[in-house]
Amino acid sequence: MIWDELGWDDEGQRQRLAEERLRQRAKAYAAPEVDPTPEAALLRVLSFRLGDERYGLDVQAVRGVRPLGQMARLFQAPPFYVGVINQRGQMMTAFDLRPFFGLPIDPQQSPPDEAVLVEGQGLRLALLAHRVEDVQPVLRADISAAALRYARGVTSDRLIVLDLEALLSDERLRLT
Amino acid sequence: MRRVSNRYFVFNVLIGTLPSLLGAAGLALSGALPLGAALALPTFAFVLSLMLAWLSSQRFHQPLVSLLEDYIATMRRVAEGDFRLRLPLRNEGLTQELGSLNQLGQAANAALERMQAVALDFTRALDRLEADTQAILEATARQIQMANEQDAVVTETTATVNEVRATVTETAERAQSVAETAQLSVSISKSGLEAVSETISGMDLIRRKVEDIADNILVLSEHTQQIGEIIAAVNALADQSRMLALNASVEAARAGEEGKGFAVVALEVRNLADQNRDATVQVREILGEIQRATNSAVMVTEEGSKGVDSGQTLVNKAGESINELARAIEDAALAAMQIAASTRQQTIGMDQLTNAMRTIKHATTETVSSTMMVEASVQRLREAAQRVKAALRGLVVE
Repeated sequence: MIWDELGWDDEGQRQRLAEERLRQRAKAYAAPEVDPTPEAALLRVLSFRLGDERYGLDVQAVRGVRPLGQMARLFQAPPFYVGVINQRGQMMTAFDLRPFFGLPIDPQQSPPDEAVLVEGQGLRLALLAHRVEDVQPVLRADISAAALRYARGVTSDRLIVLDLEALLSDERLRLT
Repeated sequence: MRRVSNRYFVFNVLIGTLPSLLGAAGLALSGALPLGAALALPTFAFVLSLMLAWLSSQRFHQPLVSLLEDYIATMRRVAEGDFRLRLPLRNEGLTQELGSLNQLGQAANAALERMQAVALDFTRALDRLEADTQAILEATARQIQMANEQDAVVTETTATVNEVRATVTETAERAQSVAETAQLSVSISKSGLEAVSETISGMDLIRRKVEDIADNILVLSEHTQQIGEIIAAVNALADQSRMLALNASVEAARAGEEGKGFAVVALEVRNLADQNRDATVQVREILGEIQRATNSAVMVTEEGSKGVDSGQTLVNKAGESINELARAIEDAALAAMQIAASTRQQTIGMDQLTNAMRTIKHATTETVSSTMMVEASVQRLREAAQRVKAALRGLVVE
């Protein structure tokens, strides 16, 4: 029943889906750019969800995304440093934005199981995420400046665009 | 000549009178005494009177005349009923005539002697007869009374026997119908037992089927588990695909204008990964439903086998109960048949009793009628005796 719906076993169905997808793609390519927003007006951000908030990061600062995978817990560390992970043979520190921002951790929620890898100011961190969403263009003009210390601002659809430079520059991250 | 003729006359009278005298005595002796006496005694006196009349005419026979006069007087008193009297006799100075007369007196006295004895016997016998007939009449009266009582008792007994017979007949009919009903119940309980044994075998079949179902469900559950594991693996693959696509998107974005085409491909890959994931989520949900369904099926089959167990126990108990019931009913049927048989025998006995009562009643009726006849005969006898006694009344014999 479910197999019928999915059409996995149906060669013709799979063929039709593939053709449909190609057609859409061709249409997208062929379509004239209706609103050719100048590239300079756009900021490409990677959006992700953590707790009840959605955050956006400038893709230029992003080094990649990954499932959190196995993480070694850290003890006697600040609460935002939750552990270390092995990223292709190198140690990376897992960082939880919520305690850093003083936000509560809902015990009902499952622990974050994805990570966005960032680099800057001599630091390489794996930011915890409940779900990495998408790379999406954001109009720079849509980012309204908020009184947030580590954010460039908030978009109209409540995406908090983080200021990674400011974040990574924080003294608290520097451990002696 | 005249003397000769006179003498001849006297002789003739004597000769003619003697048979009469003897006849009277004979009659008295033969049992008809009152009549005989009544006729004979006056005749004897009359004869003596004639003899006296003749002797008076002779003049020279003075002692003879006085003796005859004595005889006449005595005989007259005897005729009045005193049988104790005797004629006077002479022992001396007897002439030829006086001697003859004296012999006549002796003979008459002997006759009187005999007559007195017979009358005495008669009187005593009649007294005895009266007392005896009185006793017989009393006895027959009692007998008739008792026979009547007996008849009433027999009538009553016959009625009672008839009632008892009716009751016994009814009892026999009821016992018969009880026996038939019990027989029917026995056959019903036998079919009940068959139904129970069929139910037991049906329960066994259900038990085996339920066990098969439980086994199949366990196999199904294991398969579902395996599918879950496969789905988890597919899910992990989808996650990895998505991550790869996101990384590609990030790289494409960082590449700027040159990465645009690549960005589209990366989006497509991510869409596929998302679809894949959605599908696995759906499959997982369905698997969860299957798991729940199999779990509840397992529980239901467990309950089912428990139900079958208790059902089997109940059915076994029902079977035992029906068995006991059947035995009890069979006993009851046997008892009812025995009752019916014995009541039939009782009916025969009652009929015999009724016949016996009828015979007794008949005999009693016969007894009453013959006793009544006896009573009538005795009554007549008594009346006859009373008549004889009345005739004898007035005689002085002692």
